[in-house]
Amino acid sequence: MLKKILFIFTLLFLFSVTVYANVSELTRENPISYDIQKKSVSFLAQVNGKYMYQPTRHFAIYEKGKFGEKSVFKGLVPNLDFYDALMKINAFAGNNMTLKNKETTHVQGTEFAVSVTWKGAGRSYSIDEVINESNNKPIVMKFGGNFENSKNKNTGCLLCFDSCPVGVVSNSTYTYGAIEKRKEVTMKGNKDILPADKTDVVITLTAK
Amino acid sequence: MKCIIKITYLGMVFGFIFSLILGHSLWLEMRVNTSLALPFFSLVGIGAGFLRIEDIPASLVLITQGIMVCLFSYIHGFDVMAWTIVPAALFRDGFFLNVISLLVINKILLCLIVLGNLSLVPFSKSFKLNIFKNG
Repeated sequence: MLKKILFIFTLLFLFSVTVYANVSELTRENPISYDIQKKSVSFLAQVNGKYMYQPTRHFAIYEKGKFGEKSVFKGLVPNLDFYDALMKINAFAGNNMTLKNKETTHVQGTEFAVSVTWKGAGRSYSIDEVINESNNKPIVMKFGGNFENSKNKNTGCLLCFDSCPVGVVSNSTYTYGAIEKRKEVTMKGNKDILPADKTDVVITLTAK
Repeated sequence: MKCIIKITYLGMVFGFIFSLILGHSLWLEMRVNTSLALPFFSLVGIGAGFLRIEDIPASLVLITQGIMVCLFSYIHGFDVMAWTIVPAALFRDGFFLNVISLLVINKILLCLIVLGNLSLVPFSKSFKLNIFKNG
Protein backbone atom coordinates (compact mmCIF):
# COMPACT_ATOMS: atom_id res chain seq x y z
CA MET A 1 0.00 0.00 0.00
CA LEU A 2 2.79 2.42 1.03
CA LYS A 3 4.68 1.62 -2.16
CA LYS A 4 1.59 2.45 -4.22
CA ILE A 5 1.12 5.78 -2.44
CA LEU A 6 4.81 6.61 -2.89
CA PHE A 7 4.57 5.70 -6.57
CA ILE A 8 1.53 7.96 -7.07
CA PHE A 9 3.24 10.85 -5.25
CA THR A 10 6.37 10.39 -7.37
CA LEU A 11 4.27 10.50 -10.54
CA LEU A 12 2.46 13.63 -9.34
CA PHE A 13 5.76 15.27 -8.42
CA LEU A 14 7.33 14.47 -11.81
CA PHE A 15 4.22 15.76 -13.60
CA SER A 16 4.19 19.05 -11.68
CA VAL A 17 7.94 19.48 -12.28
CA THR A 18 7.37 18.96 -16.03
CA VAL A 19 4.54 21.52 -16.13
CA TYR A 20 6.58 24.01 -14.09
CA ALA A 21 9.64 23.47 -16.30
CA ASN A 22 7.58 24.48 -19.34
CA VAL A 23 6.58 27.72 -17.62
CA SER A 24 10.03 28.60 -16.29
CA GLU A 25 11.95 27.85 -19.52
CA LEU A 26 10.61 30.97 -21.18
CA THR A 27 11.64 34.42 -20.00
CA ARG A 28 11.08 38.04 -21.05
CA GLU A 29 14.46 37.90 -22.81
CA ASN A 30 13.63 34.58 -24.47
CA PRO A 31 9.81 34.55 -24.73
CA ILE A 32 9.36 31.96 -27.49
CA SER A 33 10.53 28.43 -28.23
CA TYR A 34 9.70 25.87 -30.89
CA ASP A 35 10.08 22.14 -31.35
CA ILE A 36 10.29 20.91 -34.93
CA GLN A 37 9.81 17.24 -33.92
CA LYS A 38 6.63 17.93 -31.95
CA LYS A 39 5.57 20.64 -34.42
CA SER A 40 4.86 22.97 -31.54
CA VAL A 41 5.53 26.60 -30.62
CA SER A 42 5.32 27.98 -27.07
CA PHE A 43 5.40 31.60 -26.02
CA LEU A 44 5.19 33.61 -22.83
CA ALA A 45 2.18 35.81 -22.13
CA GLN A 46 0.42 37.54 -19.25
CA VAL A 47 -3.20 37.33 -18.16
CA ASN A 48 -5.26 40.48 -18.71
CA GLY A 49 -7.89 40.30 -15.96
CA LYS A 50 -10.15 42.84 -17.64
CA TYR A 51 -11.23 40.43 -20.36
CA MET A 52 -12.52 37.83 -17.94
CA TYR A 53 -15.37 40.29 -17.39
CA GLN A 54 -15.60 42.12 -20.72
CA PRO A 55 -15.88 40.51 -24.14
CA THR A 56 -13.05 40.76 -26.66
CA ARG A 57 -12.19 39.42 -30.13
CA HIS A 58 -8.54 38.76 -29.33
CA PHE A 59 -6.98 35.74 -27.63
CA ALA A 60 -3.40 37.08 -27.60
CA ILE A 61 -1.73 40.26 -28.84
CA TYR A 62 1.90 41.36 -28.58
CA GLU A 63 2.02 43.78 -25.63
CA LYS A 64 3.76 46.50 -27.67
CA GLY A 65 1.42 46.20 -30.66
CA LYS A 66 -1.23 48.86 -31.37
CA PHE A 67 -3.92 46.72 -29.71
CA GLY A 68 -1.65 45.28 -27.01
CA GLU A 69 -4.17 45.91 -24.21
CA LYS A 70 -7.18 44.38 -25.99
CA SER A 71 -6.70 40.65 -25.52
CA VAL A 72 -7.22 37.99 -22.86
CA PHE A 73 -3.43 37.38 -22.93
CA LYS A 74 -0.75 40.01 -23.51
CA GLY A 75 1.87 38.21 -25.58
CA LEU A 76 5.49 38.98 -24.76
CA VAL A 77 6.60 37.89 -28.22
CA PRO A 78 6.46 40.18 -31.29
CA ASN A 79 3.96 39.07 -33.96
CA LEU A 80 6.61 38.62 -36.66
CA ASP A 81 8.80 36.45 -34.39
CA PHE A 82 5.71 34.34 -33.72
CA TYR A 83 5.13 34.03 -37.49
CA ASP A 84 8.77 33.00 -38.03
CA ALA A 85 8.56 30.33 -35.31
CA LEU A 86 5.46 28.82 -36.94
CA MET A 87 7.25 28.77 -40.31
CA LYS A 88 10.23 27.03 -38.68
CA ILE A 89 8.05 24.10 -37.58
CA ASN A 90 6.92 23.86 -41.22
CA ALA A 91 3.37 24.97 -40.57
CA PHE A 92 1.42 25.89 -43.68
CA ALA A 93 0.15 29.49 -43.89
CA GLY A 94 -3.30 29.71 -45.51
CA ASN A 95 -2.89 33.33 -46.70
CA ASN A 96 -6.46 33.25 -48.03
CA MET A 97 -7.77 36.20 -46.02
CA THR A 98 -7.84 39.69 -47.51
CA LEU A 99 -9.30 42.98 -46.31
CA LYS A 100 -11.97 42.57 -49.04
CA ASN A 101 -13.07 38.95 -48.51
CA LYS A 102 -12.71 38.89 -44.71
CA GLU A 103 -16.43 38.85 -43.90
CA THR A 104 -17.23 35.90 -46.17
CA THR A 105 -14.10 33.76 -45.84
CA HIS A 106 -13.00 31.25 -43.20
CA VAL A 107 -9.27 31.27 -42.48
CA GLN A 108 -7.24 28.34 -43.82
CA GLY A 109 -3.83 26.90 -42.95
CA THR A 110 -2.36 24.42 -40.48
CA GLU A 111 -4.74 23.76 -37.61
CA PHE A 112 -3.36 23.96 -34.07
CA ALA A 113 -4.31 22.55 -30.71
CA VAL A 114 -3.85 25.53 -28.40
CA SER A 115 -3.17 25.04 -24.70
CA VAL A 116 -2.31 27.29 -21.76
CA THR A 117 -0.45 26.55 -18.54
CA TRP A 118 1.10 28.51 -15.69
CA LYS A 119 3.04 27.96 -12.47
CA GLY A 120 0.75 26.05 -10.13
CA ALA A 121 -1.79 25.15 -12.81
CA GLY A 122 -1.05 21.46 -12.40
CA ARG A 123 -1.80 20.75 -16.04
CA SER A 124 -2.29 22.39 -19.43
CA TYR A 125 -5.74 23.74 -20.22
CA SER A 126 -7.12 23.70 -23.75
CA ILE A 127 -8.27 26.93 -25.39
CA ASP A 128 -11.88 25.74 -25.09
CA GLU A 129 -11.43 25.47 -21.32
CA VAL A 130 -9.83 28.87 -20.74
CA ILE A 131 -12.22 30.78 -22.99
CA ASN A 132 -15.96 31.14 -22.45
CA GLU A 133 -17.48 30.94 -25.94
CA SER A 134 -21.14 31.94 -25.75
CA ASN A 135 -22.23 29.40 -28.44
CA ASN A 136 -20.11 26.60 -26.93
CA LYS A 137 -18.62 25.85 -30.35
CA PRO A 138 -15.01 24.60 -30.47
CA ILE A 139 -12.38 27.24 -31.22
CA VAL A 140 -10.46 26.08 -34.30
CA MET A 141 -7.21 28.02 -34.59
CA LYS A 142 -5.54 28.02 -38.02
CA PHE A 143 -2.32 29.56 -39.32
CA GLY A 144 -3.65 32.37 -41.53
CA GLY A 145 -0.14 33.81 -42.09
CA ASN A 146 -0.91 37.41 -43.18
CA PHE A 147 2.75 38.40 -42.89
CA GLU A 148 2.44 41.66 -44.86
CA ASN A 149 -0.71 42.89 -43.11
CA SER A 150 0.70 41.90 -39.74
CA LYS A 151 3.88 43.84 -40.47
CA ASN A 152 2.24 46.92 -41.99
CA LYS A 153 -0.69 47.34 -39.60
CA ASN A 154 1.42 46.62 -36.50
CA THR A 155 -1.61 45.68 -34.39
CA GLY A 156 0.47 42.98 -32.68
CA CYS A 157 -2.29 40.38 -33.24
CA LEU A 158 -1.09 36.84 -32.51
CA LEU A 159 -4.32 34.83 -32.18
CA CYS A 160 -7.80 36.21 -32.97
CA PHE A 161 -11.24 34.79 -32.16
CA ASP A 162 -12.63 35.14 -35.70
CA SER A 163 -11.04 34.65 -39.14
CA CYS A 164 -8.71 37.61 -39.51
CA PRO A 165 -6.77 39.16 -42.40
CA VAL A 166 -4.19 40.61 -39.97
CA GLY A 167 -3.78 38.14 -37.10
CA VAL A 168 -1.11 35.46 -37.60
CA VAL A 169 -3.40 32.70 -36.28
CA SER A 170 -7.19 32.94 -36.06
CA ASN A 171 -10.36 31.00 -35.36
CA SER A 172 -11.82 29.49 -38.52
CA THR A 173 -15.18 28.77 -36.86
CA TYR A 174 -16.33 32.34 -37.52
CA THR A 175 -15.74 34.83 -40.32
CA TYR A 176 -14.54 38.35 -39.57
CA GLY A 177 -17.25 40.55 -38.04
CA ALA A 178 -18.98 37.71 -36.19
CA ILE A 179 -17.96 39.18 -32.83
CA GLU A 180 -17.90 42.95 -33.28
CA LYS A 181 -20.40 43.59 -36.04
CA ARG A 182 -22.92 40.75 -36.33
CA LYS A 183 -22.82 39.79 -32.62
CA GLU A 184 -23.04 36.07 -33.43
CA VAL A 185 -20.87 35.17 -30.43
CA THR A 186 -19.05 36.65 -27.43
CA MET A 187 -15.69 35.52 -26.02
CA LYS A 188 -14.26 36.11 -22.55
CA GLY A 189 -11.50 34.56 -20.46
CA ASN A 190 -12.81 31.88 -18.10
CA LYS A 191 -12.53 33.47 -14.64
CA ASP A 192 -13.16 30.12 -12.95
CA ILE A 193 -9.99 28.64 -14.44
CA LEU A 194 -7.54 31.41 -15.32
CA PRO A 195 -5.10 32.76 -12.71
CA ALA A 196 -5.00 36.37 -11.50
CA ASP A 197 -4.28 39.40 -13.65
CA LYS A 198 -0.62 39.74 -14.74
CA THR A 199 0.19 36.07 -14.06
CA ASP A 200 2.74 34.70 -16.54
CA VAL A 201 1.38 31.89 -18.68
CA VAL A 202 2.80 29.73 -21.45
CA ILE A 203 0.66 29.35 -24.56
CA THR A 204 1.50 26.35 -26.72
CA LEU A 205 0.35 25.70 -30.28
CA THR A 206 0.78 22.15 -31.58
CA ALA A 207 0.08 21.37 -35.23
CA LYS A 208 -2.68 18.78 -35.70
CA MET B 1 -8.77 72.96 -1.29
CA LYS B 2 -11.83 70.87 -0.40
CA CYS B 3 -13.67 72.41 -3.35
CA ILE B 4 -10.85 71.39 -5.74
CA ILE B 5 -10.86 67.82 -4.40
CA LYS B 6 -14.66 67.66 -4.67
CA ILE B 7 -14.74 68.86 -8.30
CA THR B 8 -11.80 66.62 -9.27
CA TYR B 9 -13.56 63.66 -7.68
CA LEU B 10 -16.75 64.52 -9.57
CA GLY B 11 -14.68 64.61 -12.77
CA MET B 12 -13.24 61.19 -11.97
CA VAL B 13 -16.70 59.72 -11.35
CA PHE B 14 -17.91 61.20 -14.67
CA GLY B 15 -14.82 59.67 -16.29
CA PHE B 16 -15.75 56.23 -14.92
CA ILE B 17 -19.32 56.60 -16.20
CA PHE B 18 -18.15 57.55 -19.70
CA SER B 19 -15.50 54.79 -19.73
CA LEU B 20 -18.16 52.23 -18.83
CA ILE B 21 -20.58 53.51 -21.49
CA LEU B 22 -17.93 53.73 -24.23
CA GLY B 23 -16.41 50.37 -23.28
CA HIS B 24 -19.85 48.77 -23.58
CA SER B 25 -19.52 49.16 -27.35
CA LEU B 26 -17.28 46.25 -28.33
CA TRP B 27 -16.43 47.81 -31.70
CA LEU B 28 -15.15 50.97 -29.99
CA GLU B 29 -13.52 49.12 -27.10
CA MET B 30 -11.46 47.04 -29.56
CA ARG B 31 -10.18 50.11 -31.40
CA VAL B 32 -9.55 52.89 -28.90
CA ASN B 33 -8.59 53.24 -25.28
CA THR B 34 -12.06 54.02 -23.94
CA SER B 35 -10.58 54.43 -20.45
CA LEU B 36 -9.02 57.73 -21.59
CA ALA B 37 -12.33 59.33 -20.57
CA LEU B 38 -11.12 58.86 -17.01
CA PRO B 39 -8.00 61.10 -17.09
CA PHE B 40 -9.81 63.50 -19.44
CA PHE B 41 -12.70 64.19 -17.05
CA SER B 42 -10.37 64.16 -14.03
CA LEU B 43 -8.24 66.87 -15.68
CA VAL B 44 -11.37 68.86 -16.55
CA GLY B 45 -12.30 68.57 -12.85
CA ILE B 46 -8.86 69.74 -11.69
CA GLY B 47 -9.01 72.64 -14.18
CA ALA B 48 -12.49 73.65 -13.03
CA GLY B 49 -11.36 73.38 -9.40
CA PHE B 50 -8.38 75.66 -9.90
CA LEU B 51 -10.40 78.16 -11.96
CA ARG B 52 -12.56 78.56 -8.87
CA ILE B 53 -15.78 77.82 -10.65
CA GLU B 54 -18.66 78.00 -8.17
CA ASP B 55 -18.73 75.32 -5.50
CA ILE B 56 -20.82 72.33 -6.47
CA PRO B 57 -23.47 70.83 -4.19
CA ALA B 58 -22.47 67.60 -2.50
CA SER B 59 -25.76 66.06 -3.61
CA LEU B 60 -24.59 66.32 -7.26
CA VAL B 61 -21.48 64.26 -6.43
CA LEU B 62 -23.53 61.71 -4.49
CA ILE B 63 -26.10 61.35 -7.27
CA THR B 64 -23.37 60.97 -9.91
CA GLN B 65 -21.66 58.39 -7.71
CA GLY B 66 -25.00 56.54 -7.41
CA ILE B 67 -25.44 56.57 -11.19
CA MET B 68 -21.96 55.11 -11.56
CA VAL B 69 -22.72 52.28 -9.11
CA CYS B 70 -26.07 51.52 -10.82
CA LEU B 71 -24.45 51.51 -14.26
CA PHE B 72 -21.67 49.22 -13.12
CA SER B 73 -24.19 46.86 -11.49
CA TYR B 74 -26.23 46.83 -14.73
CA ILE B 75 -23.19 45.94 -16.86
CA HIS B 76 -21.30 43.59 -14.53
CA GLY B 77 -23.88 42.47 -11.97
CA PHE B 78 -22.92 41.88 -8.36
CA ASP B 79 -19.89 39.68 -8.99
CA VAL B 80 -17.40 40.78 -6.30
CA MET B 81 -14.43 39.88 -8.50
CA ALA B 82 -15.74 42.09 -11.31
CA TRP B 83 -16.00 44.97 -8.83
CA THR B 84 -12.39 44.49 -7.78
CA ILE B 85 -10.97 44.03 -11.27
CA VAL B 86 -12.87 46.13 -13.85
CA PRO B 87 -12.66 49.61 -12.18
CA ALA B 88 -8.98 49.04 -11.41
CA ALA B 89 -8.36 47.87 -14.99
CA LEU B 90 -10.13 50.97 -16.36
CA PHE B 91 -8.01 53.19 -14.10
CA ARG B 92 -4.83 51.35 -15.11
CA ASP B 93 -5.56 51.61 -18.85
CA GLY B 94 -6.69 55.23 -18.62
CA PHE B 95 -3.65 56.48 -16.73
CA PHE B 96 -1.20 54.08 -18.47
CA LEU B 97 -0.16 52.46 -15.20
CA ASN B 98 0.54 49.06 -16.75
CA VAL B 99 3.47 48.28 -14.47
CA ILE B 100 1.30 48.51 -11.35
CA SER B 101 -0.73 45.52 -10.19
CA LEU B 102 -4.50 45.75 -9.82
CA LEU B 103 -4.12 45.20 -6.07
CA VAL B 104 -2.09 48.42 -5.70
CA ILE B 105 -4.47 50.29 -8.03
CA ASN B 106 -7.42 49.16 -5.91
CA LYS B 107 -5.71 50.65 -2.85
CA ILE B 108 -5.16 53.93 -4.71
CA LEU B 109 -8.81 53.90 -5.84
CA LEU B 110 -10.00 53.25 -2.30
CA CYS B 111 -7.97 56.23 -1.05
CA LEU B 112 -9.41 58.45 -3.82
CA ILE B 113 -12.98 57.37 -3.03
CA VAL B 114 -12.50 58.01 0.69
CA LEU B 115 -10.84 61.39 -0.02
CA GLY B 116 -13.59 62.34 -2.50
CA ASN B 117 -16.35 61.47 -0.05
CA LEU B 118 -14.58 63.21 2.84
CA SER B 119 -14.59 66.37 0.75
CA LEU B 120 -18.40 66.20 0.92
CA VAL B 121 -18.44 66.49 4.71
CA PRO B 122 -19.68 70.14 4.70
CA PHE B 123 -22.85 68.56 3.28
CA SER B 124 -24.04 68.04 6.84
CA LYS B 125 -23.37 71.71 7.63
CA SER B 126 -25.43 73.01 4.70
CA PHE B 127 -28.07 70.42 5.52
CA LYS B 128 -28.36 71.98 9.00
CA LEU B 129 -28.56 75.45 7.49
CA ASN B 130 -31.36 74.29 5.17
CA ILE B 131 -33.26 72.89 8.14
CA PHE B 132 -32.90 76.22 9.92
CA LYS B 133 -34.00 78.11 6.82
CA ASN B 134 -37.02 75.85 6.33
CA GLY B 135 -37.80 75.91 10.00
